This record gives sequence, C-alpha cells and structure tokens, in this order.
Amino acid sequence: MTENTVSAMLDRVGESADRLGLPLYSTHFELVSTCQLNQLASYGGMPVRYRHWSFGKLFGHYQTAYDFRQSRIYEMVINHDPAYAFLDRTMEPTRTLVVLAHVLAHVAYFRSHAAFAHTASDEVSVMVEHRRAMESYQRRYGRQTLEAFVDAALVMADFTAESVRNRSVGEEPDDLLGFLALYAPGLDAWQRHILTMLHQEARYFWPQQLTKVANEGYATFWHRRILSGLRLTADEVLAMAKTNAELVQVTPPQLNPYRLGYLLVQQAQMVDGERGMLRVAKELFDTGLVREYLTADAVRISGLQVSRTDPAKVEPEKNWTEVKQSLLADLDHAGLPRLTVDRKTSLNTGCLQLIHCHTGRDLDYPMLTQALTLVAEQIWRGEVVITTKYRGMAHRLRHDGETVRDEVIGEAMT
Amino acid sequence: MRHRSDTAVGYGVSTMTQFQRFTVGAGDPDPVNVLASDQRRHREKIEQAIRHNLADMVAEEHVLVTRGERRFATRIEHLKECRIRYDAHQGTWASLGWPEGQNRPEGGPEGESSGRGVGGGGAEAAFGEEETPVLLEDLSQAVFSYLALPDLDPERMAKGEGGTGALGEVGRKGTRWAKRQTLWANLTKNAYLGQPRINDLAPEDLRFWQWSDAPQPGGGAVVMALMDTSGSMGNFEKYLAKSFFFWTAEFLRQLYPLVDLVFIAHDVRAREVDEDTFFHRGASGGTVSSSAYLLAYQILEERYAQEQYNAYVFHFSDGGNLTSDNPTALASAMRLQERVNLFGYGEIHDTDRSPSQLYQALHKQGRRAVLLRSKEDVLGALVEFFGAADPRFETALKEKKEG
Repeated sequence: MTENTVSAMLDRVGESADRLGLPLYSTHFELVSTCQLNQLASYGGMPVRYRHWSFGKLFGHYQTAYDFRQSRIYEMVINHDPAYAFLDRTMEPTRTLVVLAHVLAHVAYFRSHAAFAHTASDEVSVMVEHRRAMESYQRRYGRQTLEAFVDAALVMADFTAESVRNRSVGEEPDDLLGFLALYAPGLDAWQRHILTMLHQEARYFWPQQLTKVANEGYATFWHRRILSGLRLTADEVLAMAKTNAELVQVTPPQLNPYRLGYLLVQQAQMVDGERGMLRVAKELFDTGLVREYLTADAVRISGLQVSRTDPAKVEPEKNWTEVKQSLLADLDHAGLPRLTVDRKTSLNTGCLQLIHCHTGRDLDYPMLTQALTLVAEQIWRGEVVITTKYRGMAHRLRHDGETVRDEVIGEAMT
Repeated sequence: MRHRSDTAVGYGVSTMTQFQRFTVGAGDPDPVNVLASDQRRHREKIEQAIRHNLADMVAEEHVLVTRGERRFATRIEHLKECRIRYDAHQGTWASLGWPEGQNRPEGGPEGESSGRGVGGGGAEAAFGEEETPVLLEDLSQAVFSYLALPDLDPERMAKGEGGTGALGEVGRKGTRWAKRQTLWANLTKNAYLGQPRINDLAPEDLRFWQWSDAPQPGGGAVVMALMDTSGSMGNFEKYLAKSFFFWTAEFLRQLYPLVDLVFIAHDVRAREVDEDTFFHRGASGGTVSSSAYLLAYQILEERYAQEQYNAYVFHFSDGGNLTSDNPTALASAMRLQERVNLFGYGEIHDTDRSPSQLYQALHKQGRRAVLLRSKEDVLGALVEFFGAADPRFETALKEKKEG
C-alpha cells in the first residue's frame, strides 16, 4: 500500500461518513511495518514509552502471535489531537477500506465521549518526556535500582482512579497511587517523580480501559454503516465480509469485545434510535452499555452464557440476569479490584492501611502477598497492612518490614 | 496542535486529502528500534529464569511434545508481573463464555488485559499472557553447560564413516579430481617417453583424491537407551523416562555428533526400535529386565568392538521386575556393566515404596543408580549420569531440593 492508495480510500470513506453524519476530525495516518505495529501495540499504541522490560515481553507475545498466524494487528489509534493512526503497510488494500472506516469511528469516539473529555491531548510528547526523565534517572541511579522501583510502582499503577475526572490543582488525590506519590515517607524526589509520571500515564489509559467494549462496538457499528454506504467492487465486498467475520469471531471462552460491543450498540440503535446512538457516543461506559442494553433477547442472540470452574452448566435462556450480572462484574472497574487507602490512620500511624472493597470475588492471594512485599519494601518503606476477605473470612495481611503475616480477623459480613 | 517533532517516530512527507482533514505518511523506512533495550532486558530475564528454574523446565511437558518446533511456551514465575488481581481459579463465581465455551482458562476471560490500546485484530495472543515463549536452544544451552560424557576414553578410536575422513591418497578412480597430481602424472609419463612436458592428457593420467576412513579424533561412542515399556509403567513413569532420554539424545547429538544411539524397548522381551517408536509407542505386559540387558550385550558384541567404542547404557524402569528374573537380571546387568564405560540405572516411582532389589544391589556396589520420584528429578538424573561439569551446580541443586 502506498500513501496515494490510502488517500484515495480516505476520500471515499470520508465522503460516506459525512453523508451518514459521523463527525470526522483531523487525523494523521502513518504506514508502518508489521513489526513496528507490534511495537506500538506493546507500548499501548504510543510511539514511545519509558524503558521497562515488560514492554519487551509484550512485544514478544505479539510477535509470536503474528509468527504463528494466530492474531494480527492492523491498526493502532492514539487518542491525541490531531489523532494518530498507524496502519500495517502490508495489509491487503481491500481490507484497508474497512480498517480506515473503523479508525475514523474510533477517532470520533475519542472526541465525543465524556470519558475522554479530560485526557491529555498531547500525550505522545508527554510520554517522550517521561522516557527522557526515566533515562536520566537510570543513568544516575543505575538500572537495578530503577527497575526494582518501577516494578513495585506498577503494582500500584492499577489504582489511580475512581472517576475519569481530572483533579484540580491543590485538591487531595482521590486514588492510591496519587496518595503514595504525595505522602509515602522516605521517598526521594526522583522516586516521587516516577510515581507521578506513572500516575499520569495510567490516568491517560484508564478511560480506554473502561470503554473497551463500547469503543470497539461503536467503531464496528460505524464501519459497517460507512461501508454499506459505498459503491464497492466485488473484491471489496468479499474482503469486507471476511474482515467483519474475523472481527466478531469467537474463541471461547474469551470475550470478544468487538462482538459484544457491536451487539450492544446495535441494540441501542434498535431500542432507542438516535437517542440511543447519542448515549453510546457520549456517555455510556462498558458497564453502562451492558446495564442499559443487554436485554433477555440480546443475551439469547449473543449466545452468551455463564461458565463456571465447577461443572454445573447453566441454561442461558433461563438465567439471562445471571449472565448480565456476571458480565457486569467482569467489566466493573475494568476488571480490576477496588483498593482504597485509609488516609488518616496511614498518616497518623505511619503504617499504610489498604482496604480492598470486596465485591464478591476474592483476590489472588499468593500474588497479593508478593505485591504487598514489593509495596512495603520499595514504595512505602515501612509497615503495610491490607484488609480483605478470603473464602468468607475477613483477613488482615501485614508486612512488618520483614515478612508477611496473615491473620483472620473475623467472619466476613455478606 | 502539537509538535510532531517531539516524537521519536519519523514522519514522511504527507499527502493531503479532502479538506486537509487527513494526512497520510509513509513512515520511516528504517526506524530506530525504540523497544530494543526492553527486548534485551526481557531476554536477560528469561535466561536468568531458565537457569533458576532448570529442574522444572527440563521435565516440562511442552518440551517433549514440541519436538521440531524449537519454541515452546512455558510459565516462568519470575517473569510474571506482580499485580493485585482477582483470583482466577476460584470456582465460586461465574465467568462468561460464548457458546460451547468450556471452563475458564488460567488467566481468565479478560486475562491480564494488556490491550489498553485501541485496535487489535480480534483474536487474542498466541500464548497465554503469562506464558513466555522459550527457545529450545536456550534451554539446551543452560542444561548442557553442566553436562559432559564421563570416562570418555579417547584411545578408543572408531572408524569414521566414509567421506568423513581426511583426503590423503590419490588414486586412478574417484569423484574429486586432483589437478596437480594429474599434471604431474602426465609430465612423468611424457618424460619417460622422452619429452618432458605437459601434453596430450590421456585418461590414464587422471588422478583423483581418495577418501580415507580416518579414525575420529573424538573417539567412538555408543549410547544405549533401555526402557521398560511394560504395563506397569504408567504414564508418569514413561514420561519421566522419555524426558530423560529426550535430553540424552539432544545432548549427545549436539555435543558428540558421531555418537551412535541404540534404542531398546522391553517388556518381557526386548527389541531394538527406532527413535520414533521408542519415544511414542506404548506397550504392555510384564517386566523382564534381563531380556534388555542380554540384547544390549549382544548388540555391543556384534557391532561395537570394545577396543573401539566407548559404550554407555542407561536403563529406566519402574522396578517392577518379575521376581523370578531378578537373579538373571542382576547377573546380566553386572556382565553388561563390566563391558561398558558407564551403566546407569534409573528407577521411577511416584510413591514412597522401597526401591527394587536390582536398585539396592547396584546401589550397594556403588554403581550409578538413581531414584526418580518427581519431574524435578530428571535434571538430577542427568547430572548424576553425565557428571556435573560444574561442581557448584550440583551443590546448588541439592540445596534447592532440600530447601
């Protein structure tokens, strides 16, 4: 594919999108190699991130998946102003049409949805700055020190937000990582800076994590509409059908966000018409979309069902509410546990008090112990306690500076 | 609008399209690999982890089933990124699957969701999120760096196969033309006839290099793999034996390319089989170990002269030899081990029952006999039989086992 073929296709797709009323925004498309695209994917779509071995690991996964022809990435879109989209140069031209329409819808979603109202529009350069800062810290403090600290900090990087709203200056942070960056005793300035940088990056990605299904659903819905408004050649029709089929393909028991999202957006349009589409485009997150539009009918059509680690099978028709509840539990908070901090006690006693808000699912206990050790040794540098529930009992895990001890503090209320 | 020059990705000349809403760039044809350091570091961590988990990984099932694949996926605990997550193995909560969805795999339906970026081609990654693709070569290197063929007698030279020896002699027939010798033959012929010059090349002047069967400097060696395939050898027992022989074969092929391998499978009768049959076919029946020892001895006598070959024999069994065969087995084992450089006997139990008479007798005489109880013991057996090249490793292995 060359720039000219892509430009010509963009003209066609853009025209059709205009006719259908999809808002379009200035976007830069860049043709890259498959390998580069995999690199971008391991960086979460960004051209540059700070140095960390986990990106190398992720890249290995993508590359292997591609080598074994198990999955392939065609595009990466960055939520940025102007938007950036990276396309695989070696993609078949007929497929490109579908991918371009898909990208335009993603960009529209980023611009119109409330989730992204507060994300930085210049995140690419922010992340370039982060890389530079991290590199200078690595030179000054050595790779081992930096890596050990970042490894630990990443444990806490999942807990950066309750809301997608931005904090105003001077406001107390409402999240765990923000609290640690400000108040963890015994951290050097550079370490606080790293926590702040990771916080910024995590906050940038957080809305994307909350709208995975909705975003893909919206983009799939729109690319289908855009393409059906085009005069297509036989080859293009075939390629479109193939791409669409691949996109919504199911590999049980994985949940395909394209398929689920497409189904829900279709439902929204069928049930609520234009108003439904507007809600999808502007305000509904993954959980909201499921809550609003996963009806009994939708469950039946989707073929969604609950599977358990115990063999008892459940009839999907009879238990669509269970399906819905389970799906909501999976999507809630982007599938991550909720952790909060007892600020007062932590600051007064010097012992970090973490609280896991148990919502019916236990934590991975061995990992929790490891995580606690990392946080105690690298971040808080002192006593750390977490209260959670495990197998119906309330537990308190305490890292006293040397080892982790687990005590049962009573029967959990259900 | 932001500055694009801030990014490390170079943008080519852009083509403007309608209303200048979209620009298209061709990308840098030769971009800087920004991920190189991360990839390098990740590789370093894999290598470290392999060394640390060697005992577990040697007996990894994937290693055996991916023969020829050269790459397998495995879980390396050290490379698992520590995160606070929900327990994926709890049976009390429901998860979602699509039709014909089976049980939740490790990692869960959403897995360690890495796809923060938008996009992606639908299907998930090839290997599980926490599985690391490891090259068989990497693992082999780590394993083999500790091993060597013990008691290899360099004096016992074997004839190399035709074509592997040195080019020494010239003759009148052959495939590789010796130019200078041909001209010399022509010159001497003409000189003899009175005209000392090179002229009139005739067929009788042609000279060719001769391949000679030169002795191999590494010494000839033959390794015999004896395996009990009786009904009492369960899957686990067979699996451990296969795992051991897999590494033995890999090890010998790479470090001693001219080593002969002989595979003998036995139940009540022993037969020589090819490698594929040996590794992949099961059998049934009782166990008469002496049959294998006798056959091994016979093959040695027929094909591998004692003064020419270093011989190594390894036998794996569950120790369930027929009681009536025990005296014969012991006698033939003794005779066999007199004949060879090394006789190794491995006995596999997954229970705590006491080892067989054969094991006890061999053990008493200070012969190399090992008991294998778990997967981790495979590496121990390799080290026991092939000698740890690095004594520190042996102690480290023991410490790990005790700890």
